[in-house]
Amino acid sequence: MASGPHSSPYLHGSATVSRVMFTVLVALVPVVAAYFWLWGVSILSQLALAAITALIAEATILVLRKLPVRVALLDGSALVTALLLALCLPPSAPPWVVVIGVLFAIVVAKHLYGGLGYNLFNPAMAGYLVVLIAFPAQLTLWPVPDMYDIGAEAGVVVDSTTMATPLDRLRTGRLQGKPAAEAMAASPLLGIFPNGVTTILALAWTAGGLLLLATRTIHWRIPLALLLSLGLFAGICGWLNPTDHAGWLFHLFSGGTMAAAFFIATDPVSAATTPRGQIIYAAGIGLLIYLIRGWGGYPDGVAFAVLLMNIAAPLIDYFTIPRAYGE
Amino acid sequence: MPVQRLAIPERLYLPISGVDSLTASIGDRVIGGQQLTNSAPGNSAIWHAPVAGRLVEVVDHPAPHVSGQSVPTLVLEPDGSDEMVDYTALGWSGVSFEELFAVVEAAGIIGMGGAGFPTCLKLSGAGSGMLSTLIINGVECEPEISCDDMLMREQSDKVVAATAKLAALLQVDKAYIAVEDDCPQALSRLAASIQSVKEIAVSAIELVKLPIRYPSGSEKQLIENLLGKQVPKGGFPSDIGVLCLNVATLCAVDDAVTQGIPLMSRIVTVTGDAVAKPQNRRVLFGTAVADLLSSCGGLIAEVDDLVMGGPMMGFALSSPLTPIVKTSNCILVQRAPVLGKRRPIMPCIRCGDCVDVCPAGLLPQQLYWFAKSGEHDKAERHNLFDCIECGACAYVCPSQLPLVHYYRVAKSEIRTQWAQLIKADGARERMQARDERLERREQEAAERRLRKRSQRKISTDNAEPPMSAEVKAAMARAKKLQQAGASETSEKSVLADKSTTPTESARD
Repeated sequence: MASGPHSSPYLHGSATVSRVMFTVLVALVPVVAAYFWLWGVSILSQLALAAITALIAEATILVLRKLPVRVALLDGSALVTALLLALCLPPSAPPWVVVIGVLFAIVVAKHLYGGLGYNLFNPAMAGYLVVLIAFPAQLTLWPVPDMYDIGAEAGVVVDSTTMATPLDRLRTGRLQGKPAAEAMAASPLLGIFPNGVTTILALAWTAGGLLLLATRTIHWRIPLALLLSLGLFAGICGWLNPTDHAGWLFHLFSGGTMAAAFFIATDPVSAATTPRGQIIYAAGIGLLIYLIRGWGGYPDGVAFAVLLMNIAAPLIDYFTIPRAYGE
Repeated sequence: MPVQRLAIPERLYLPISGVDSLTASIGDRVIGGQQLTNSAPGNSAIWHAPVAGRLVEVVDHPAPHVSGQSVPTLVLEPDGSDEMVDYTALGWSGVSFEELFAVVEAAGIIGMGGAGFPTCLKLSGAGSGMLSTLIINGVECEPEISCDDMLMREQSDKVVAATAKLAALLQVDKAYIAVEDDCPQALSRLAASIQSVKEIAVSAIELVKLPIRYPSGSEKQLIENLLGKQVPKGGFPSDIGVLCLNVATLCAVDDAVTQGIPLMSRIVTVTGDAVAKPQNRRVLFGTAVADLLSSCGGLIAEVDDLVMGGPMMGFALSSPLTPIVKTSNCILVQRAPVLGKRRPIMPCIRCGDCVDVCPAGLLPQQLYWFAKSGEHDKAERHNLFDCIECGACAYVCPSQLPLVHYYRVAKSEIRTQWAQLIKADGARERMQARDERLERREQEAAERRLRKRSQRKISTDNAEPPMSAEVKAAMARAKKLQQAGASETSEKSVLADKSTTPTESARD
């Protein structure tokens, strides 16, 4: 693409889009490591499949759209989308599920909306929702980790190779009229965190998120507002009705909360862009996650919550124009 | 190394597009300090001959303006003599507030930080006793510029003394000299000067060390940094009791008051990796940039642009013959980047880094969308015209978007629309006036007709108006004549009838 017109400023900082994207990729390392530790090498092939599918889809669309291929492939945005999506899927997901999800994310959610910078929806979440709705069976059951003591999980393991997530158990329990405490108590980690495997993943996402904050790749507004909002609503409901509600710690360290707070909701393209707007946007996601988890038809509500707030983002921006100097 | 004066060039070019008239004729010999132009009151666009010489001509010459257009320019050929006007000075003790205004205006002093706002207007907005704070702005307006730093290092006593005198004259409560913390020499010299001058100074002067955060040299941002107050939108610093002067402007005021010397030269920073010897130089106004560059060892690499002003807000010159003027604080020459190394422009990813750095509190990423798509009403709603074009947003943009360029284009498009609107309003008013005029005439004509008709009616009502005997007699005579004439014409008409129908009679 062309270089800029000869006009000020004549100085430029070192920031580039690809640096932003590759920092995100580096921040995903703890998450990949956690998957690897829990489920072994299968996650690597899943990531590779997602990445290759994304790059081929991106290149094909760029050729069709008669846009320069090299620059866009090197910007890393397609890789970020693909890897975020792959890390939302269970490691046991069939390859065709991965391919369909990534194709939808890159081709429809990203390029049919205009490509990088123009997409209304978070591409990874849009792709994830398509496969979640289309193939719920393949996406809701997670394999029992290799190193996991199946005996400890005897009460909740569905069969010898797969298990339900804590949020699944919470929802099933709710539908069966069981108290929330049962679902929570099933798999404590270190005696502190309410549920085992997903908490390890949540901590890995948090570690990556802190890296993003430390490198100033993301701003604190969105993660903090999302976690505070979800924690607040979960805390209030848990305090009012501890039998039916799981409490704030459970919700913060379950499902996709940490991934959403640091990696998904912070996607700048589809998020609100004004400082106040970002706080409203993220708080809205937190509230929606809690509403969907508590009363919705799916055990986790992260992807729906993000997409719903994506729709609201332009409106939020419109009403939160900051005060200009001297106004 | 102290700031050296640049040798007097062969020709000086003084742009006169904003001036009213010349006070000397072409061909005249003028001497240093002699006033060359008049301007509208309060404009301060006055040129004084920087040196003695001959006024050669007025030609169209490249102007130091972002448009790069040529404007009428007065050409002065120095003759090497150092003859100067016999300056008379009032001195700080002898000058009143009103006289200060006149002195500053006559000396042709405008803001030398870059914006070029007439200093006398700043003073007039103030009014004696209306100000509470005087701020001397020693914060360099942009990175890489060091002309104010050099001035403070070399003339710290003058800066401090002038600050004290001006503060006393304006009766302000507090005077600040603001300097960035990367100017340790200027800071220590100023601190020493404050110690030594304090015995004679009436008001307290506080030397403030500011952390470097572009654009803290910008007047409004500096005021906010120092006082925690914002200048109201569309207002002036005097609205909140502040007078803020650039340190070079202050020295120019001091020269005018204590020595009667008008503004004829300034310190210019020559910088960039394409010039042999980057340095600060005291340059006479009208000196061509080319002369200044060659005195700094010339260019040592290919450059894309000669930039006047700093790297953040400067503009590319259309010609190396463009002159240095009162606001020219810096000449920047950077090596042209190797072609493959230019970073590509990417789409905006709305990362919001620009929001965090915008000193005007705007949403640069949104303004970019609106500017790009021509949604001018939304751009205005998002306060496009509060953008000071500091370039901070474009500096941090990871997509390398030339954001300021988009804002400039959008602003000028909106201004053009306004102008057209005003023009259209004018046309509409003229059309309305025309319609009204026609209607008025119609009405008047109708009224006239009505009046006439009613007069006729009156005359027929009084069938026999009173007449004198002579008139009656005359009328009787006329009647007789008419009757006689009538019988003649009737005969003639009979003949005529006959003559016109001969064929008919022949047929009979």
